[in-house]
This record gives sequence, C-alpha cells and structure tokens, in this order.
Amino acid sequence: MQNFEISKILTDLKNVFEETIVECTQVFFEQKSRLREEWKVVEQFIFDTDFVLTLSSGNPDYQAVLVVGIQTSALKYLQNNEAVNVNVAMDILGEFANNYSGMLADQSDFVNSFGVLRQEIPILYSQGLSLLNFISGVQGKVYFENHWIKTGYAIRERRKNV
Amino acid sequence: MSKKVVIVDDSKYLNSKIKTFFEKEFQYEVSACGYDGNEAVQLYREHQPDLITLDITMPNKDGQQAMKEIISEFPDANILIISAVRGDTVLECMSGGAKGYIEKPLKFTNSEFIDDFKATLDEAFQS
Repeated sequence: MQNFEISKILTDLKNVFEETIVECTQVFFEQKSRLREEWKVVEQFIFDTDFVLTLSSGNPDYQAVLVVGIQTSALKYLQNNEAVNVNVAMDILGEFANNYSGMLADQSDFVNSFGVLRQEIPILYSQGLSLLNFISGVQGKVYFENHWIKTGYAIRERRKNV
Repeated sequence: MSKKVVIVDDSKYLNSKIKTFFEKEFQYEVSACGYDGNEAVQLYREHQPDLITLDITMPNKDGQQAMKEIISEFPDANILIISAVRGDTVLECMSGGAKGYIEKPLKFTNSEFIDDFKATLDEAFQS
C-alpha cells in the first residue's frame, strides 16, 4: 500500500535523487553519466537485472532501502572487461550504494525531510529477484556509454511500539 | 623514510584505489589491507603503522568498534576514518580518538580533494 505523504515527498525530491546519482556515478566509476528519462515514483519496484543489491538504512523515525540493479555486461564494462561474479558484484555495487546513500545525506532537502539514516550491510541477489515490495519508492536509471545502472529508493516511517 | 599505512575497507575495489592513491600521491608504503574490523585490530597489532584508515560500515566488526579496541591498546594510534556515514557518527569518531574523517565518495582525481586529504593527514600527524 502506498503512503501518499511519503510519495509526495519523494516526488518533490525526485531531482535530488536524479542529480545525486549522476554525480555519484561520475565520481565513483569515473564515467561520464547522464539520465535519459525522468525518474518515477512507483508503488512497487521491478528489478529484472542480473544483479540486484539492497542496502538498508534507518534512524529512529524512518527506515529505507536503496536498491541497485545492473546487468552483467555493464558490470564487466566497469571492470575493464574482466570477468565478473557475485563477489565482484557485491563488492562494487555495495560500495556504490554506500556512497550514493552518503551523498544523499549531504543534500539538505533530503535531510530536512528524513534526517540522516545510518546504513547497514548490503545484501546481493543474483538472477531471480524481480519484485521488491516496499511501499512506495522513486526509481530510474543512470546511463554511461551504452550501459546503465537502475536504482530505487524506498522509505517508510518506522513503526513505533505502542 | 616513507610513512606506513594499513588500509581497511570491506570493498576490495575501493581498497585497491585507496592503496594506489596513498602510494602515488603521498609516497606512503602500504603495509597491508584488511576487509573488516577484526582484521583492522589484528593488522594494527602486527604492523603498528604510522596510520590506519578505517571504513565504518563493515561486516563482523564495524570501524567504530575496531577504533575503540585499537585505541585502548595503542592510545597514540593515528586513525583516519574514511566512510560514507554522515551525521552524529562523525562527531562520535572524532571525540573517540580518530585523527580525521574523510567522507566518501573519494574524488581521487580532483585537486581540491587531494589538497583537503593532504591537509587532513598533516593535521593527524601534528595532533
């Protein structure tokens, strides 16, 4: 079920997510990066990439998940055409997600809305996970050369004990 | 004589880049690389380097805990945190004994970043 208040905040912050992913990709991979289409706030993420990594984060008020998906060919390109496997994917995507999450915390509009969220250890899925049902999130792709990375960011209020 | 550094980050990809950065930009000798907080403590004991860099978010034992253990055993240790974690953690690390805190992402080819990194190293060794 969609939380409309959070969906609205994510919609308002869409350009923050977009600008931050482009900068992160450029700095982290040293690749010229760009968006080709606007990101969207969706009710359910769909990730059909070869590798999908999730990075949870949270603070006393919110819990979030950042999802990063990449195809084997794109990962191989980023590794100078060296062979890739789940360990390489975990290593590179985990650090990329870690950096992106940190960079979002540098954005005042993001922090004013959600505060600073502490990151957890990432989890990698390979070949098989296509749906991530986590309330509502903003998702889109960042392109470099003929490849792309797909990213989704979902956040919800933490349930409080009553 | 070149300074010795131990680098600890759970990403092999980043460890390799940090290693090259220290060697090329600052002519440091990289004594060892580790991938979690347990290795950080072990490698510090083994090498007793001039500097150790620690990531915060790592499996098994995080960088903050590793820092506490290193400082309790080696109170003069020079510890540089290199992390994407923001917020209160920065202050906690600095008040806990870290000599510097570098925020990821690391802009290895950016001259301003390199200057800031060098200034942080200089401050770490002067304190």
